[in-house]
Amino acid sequence: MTEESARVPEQLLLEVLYFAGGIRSKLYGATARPEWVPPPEQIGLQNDVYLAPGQFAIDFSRFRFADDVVRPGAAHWFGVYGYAKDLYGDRGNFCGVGLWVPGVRLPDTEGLFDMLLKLVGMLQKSGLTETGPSSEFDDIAERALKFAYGCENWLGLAGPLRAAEPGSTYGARATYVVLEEPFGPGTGLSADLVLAIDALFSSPIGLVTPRILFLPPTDINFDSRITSDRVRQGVQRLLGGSPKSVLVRSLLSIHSDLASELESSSTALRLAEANAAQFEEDAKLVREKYDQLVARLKESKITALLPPMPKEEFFEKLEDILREYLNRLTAARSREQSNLQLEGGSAKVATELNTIKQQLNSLLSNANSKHGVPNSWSQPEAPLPPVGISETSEMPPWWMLAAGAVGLIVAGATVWWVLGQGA
Amino acid sequence: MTQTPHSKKFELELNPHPVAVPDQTVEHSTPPIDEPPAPPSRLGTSESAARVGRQLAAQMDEQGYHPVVIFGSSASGKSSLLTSLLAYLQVDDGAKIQVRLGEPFALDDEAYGEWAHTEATGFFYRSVEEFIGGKAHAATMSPNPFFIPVVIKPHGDAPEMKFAFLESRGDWYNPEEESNEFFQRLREEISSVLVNFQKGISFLHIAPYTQVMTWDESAPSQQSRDVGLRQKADLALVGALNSYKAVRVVKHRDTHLFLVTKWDAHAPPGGNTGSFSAPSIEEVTAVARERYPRAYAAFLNLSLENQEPWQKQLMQYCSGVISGRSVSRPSAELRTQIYRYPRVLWTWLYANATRDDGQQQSLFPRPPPALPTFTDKLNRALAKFLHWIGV
Repeated sequence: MTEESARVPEQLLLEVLYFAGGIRSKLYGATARPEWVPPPEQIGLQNDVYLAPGQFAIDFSRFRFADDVVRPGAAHWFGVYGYAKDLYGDRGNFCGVGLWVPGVRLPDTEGLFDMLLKLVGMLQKSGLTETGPSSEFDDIAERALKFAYGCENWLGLAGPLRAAEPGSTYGARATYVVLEEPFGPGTGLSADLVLAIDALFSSPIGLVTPRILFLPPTDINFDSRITSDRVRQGVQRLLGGSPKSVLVRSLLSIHSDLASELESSSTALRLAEANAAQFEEDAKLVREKYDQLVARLKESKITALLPPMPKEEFFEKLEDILREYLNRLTAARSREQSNLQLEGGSAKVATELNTIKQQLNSLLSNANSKHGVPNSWSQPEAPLPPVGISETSEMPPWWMLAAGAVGLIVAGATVWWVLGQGA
Repeated sequence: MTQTPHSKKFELELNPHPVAVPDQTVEHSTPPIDEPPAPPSRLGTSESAARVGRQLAAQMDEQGYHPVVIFGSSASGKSSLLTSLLAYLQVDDGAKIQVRLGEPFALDDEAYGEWAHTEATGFFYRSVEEFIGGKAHAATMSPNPFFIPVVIKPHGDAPEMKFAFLESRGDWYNPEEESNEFFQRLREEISSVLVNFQKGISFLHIAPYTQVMTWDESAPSQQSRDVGLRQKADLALVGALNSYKAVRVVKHRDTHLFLVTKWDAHAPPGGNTGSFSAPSIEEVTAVARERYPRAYAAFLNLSLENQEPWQKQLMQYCSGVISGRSVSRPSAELRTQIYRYPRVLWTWLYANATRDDGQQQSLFPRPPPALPTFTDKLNRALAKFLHWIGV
C-alpha cells in the first residue's frame, strides 16, 4: 500500500435521499447496507429546515458505528440537500446526496462538495422517476463513487485512533450555521467554510456537535420549533475562533497524540525485545542442562549393558523370546516321547520352564513399573518371585511318570531275560 | 492549512480520459452479486429501543396514561389529525375541556427522554398554533417515534384523563417491495410498548380518501398516481395490522377505529347531500371497501378475543380543508361541521380510556331535548282530536 492510497478510506458509500411517496433512500457502493452504517432516518432534514427552490444545505454529521464494534473514529456523513417535491405534493420535502466516511480520514471538502452538488442538481432535474433514481443517475452515481475513491480527494489521517465513546444511541440535537456567503452551483465554498469542515473532521471525538447543518445566508425557513440558541451566524461562531486556527490546533493535537502513541509503542517494543532476549538466554541454559543429563544417562553402566530401544521394538523382542521358549518347550516334549529318554529330560524341561517364567516375570515387572514400559534393556531386573513347592509346573506330567515306570519295568525285564539266557 | 487547488473535478458528462483510481477501489465498487439484500438497520440497537419501549409502557401505566397509536402510510394525515384534535380543544368554546401537555416520561435513556419531550412540546404548542393559524404540519421526518402526553379535564364531574399520542413517520409503515419480508416490522420502541402495556390501547388506522393534494390545481391530473399511492397505503395498513397481531398479546381491552380521513375530498363541506358531516354507514363502508380493500378486510377479520361491538368501528374524518400546507379558515357554518369530527373522536377516545379505568364516561354532556316546533304541536293537537272523535 502506497502512502497515497493509505489516505483513502477502506470503504466509501454514496447514499441518495429522495421522496417518492414518502422518504426513501438508495445506497451505492454495497448491495446490502453494511452493519456499521447508521439508518437513513438519522440523516437528512428532520422537520427543522425547509428549503426553497435554489437553496442548498450541507450536512456534517458524526455517528457511532451502528454495529457497536469498537473501531477508530466514527461514521461520518457529509451530505448536500436541495429542494424537492413528493408525489403527494409539496410537504416541506427535500432531496439529498451524501458520502458515508468511516474512521479518521480527512477529505478534500471542496472537490467532494462539488461532486455532491452536481448529483443533487441532477436528481432535482431529471434523475428521479416515480419509482426512484433513474438508471442514468445510477450510472453517474457509480462513477461519482469511483471518483470519490481517488487519492486526490483525501488529505490523510484526520483524528486519533480512538473509538467513539459509547453512549445513548439516540442522536444529539443539530446546530444550524447560517453562512455569511452563499454557496451553490458555480459559486463553490468559501475558504473559511472549507477549513471549518476540515476542522470538524479533525476534531477529537466527543468534542464537536454530532450534527451540523450549514445553510445559505438568506431566507431560511426554519421550523418554528428551532430555538435561536441552536442557530449560529457564521463558522467562527460555531467553532469559537478562526477555522484555520482551530484546524491547526486539531492537527497539532492529532500529531501530539500520535507521537505519544508512537513513543509508548516504541517503549513497549523495547521491553518486549529485552524480554525476548532474556527468554532466549534462559532457554539456552535449560537446553545445556538437558543435554548434560542425557549424556550422563548414556554414560551409566546400566545403559551400557543393553542399548536403549523404543517401545515397539521392546514388544517385538518380547514376542520373539516367548516364541523361542515355547518352541524349545515343544521340541523337548517331542524328544522325550520318541526316545523315551527321560533321564534328565524332565528336569531340563522344568529348568527351562523356570527360566521362561523368570524372564517373563522380569519383563512384566519392567512393563508395569511406575515409569511405564522400559525404553531399554538397561532397566534393572526385577527380583525373582518365590518359587513354591506346590507349583505343578515343576512336576513332570503323569504320563511321563507312567512312561518312565513302564520303561523301568521293561528295562528290568530285559536285563532279567538277558541274564536268564546267559545262565 | 492551505487547500491545494483542486485540479480534477467530477464531471457529470462521461470523460474520455477517466481518472485513474487505486486498485483497491475495484473490490469496493464491484461487490459480490450473490449477497441477498439485508433489511434496513434500525435506530440504535434493538436492545436499547426495546428498553425504551418497556420503560415507556411502565411509565404510562404508572402515571395513568391511555396510549393512542396511530398507524398510517406517508401523507395519510396522521399529523394533521393529531393537530386538529389538539387544536379543536383550544378553538371551540363549546368544548368546555381544559387541555395541557403532560409531564415527560422518566427513562434511563435520558437523551431519548429529553429529545422526545422536546419534540412533544414542539408539536403540542408550535405545530398546533401553526395549524390554528392556517399552516399544516409538514411531512414528519423525526428520526424516532415519540409519544405526546396530553391531559384533558372536562368541566363538571367527568374525571381528568391522560392520553399518550404516538407520532411517527409514515414511511415506517410503507411496504418494502424489495425485501423478502415485504411488510415492515414495527419500530422496536412501538412494538415494545404494545408488548408491555397490559391495559387497553386505542388504535387509529388512517386510510385517506386520497393520497394527493385534494384542493391542488393539479389534483385531477394526479388521479392515476393516486391509485398507485393508495395501493401502497392499503398495504401499509395491512402490515401494521399484521404487526399488531404478532406482538400484542393483551387484545381484549383494545379498541380499533378505521378512519377514512380527508373526507372533504369525497364530499365537500357544506354540500346539499349532507355527506360531509352525516354520511350513512353504508356510504363510508363502501368507500373503505373500494379504496382500501386489503386493509379493510384485515381490519374486519382482526380477532380481539371478546369481539365486543365497541372494539372495532369505522368512521370518516376531516382534519380541515387542507391543500399542501395551507389550512383554510372555515366559515361559521362550516366550522360546526368540521369541528364535529374532532369532537366525536375525542368522545370515542375518552370513552375508551374511562372504560379501561372501569367506569365509562361521556366526555361531552348530552344535548338537552329539542324544544317542540309549531309543526310538532300541531301534529300533537291533531292526534288528540282524532282520538277524541274515535278515529
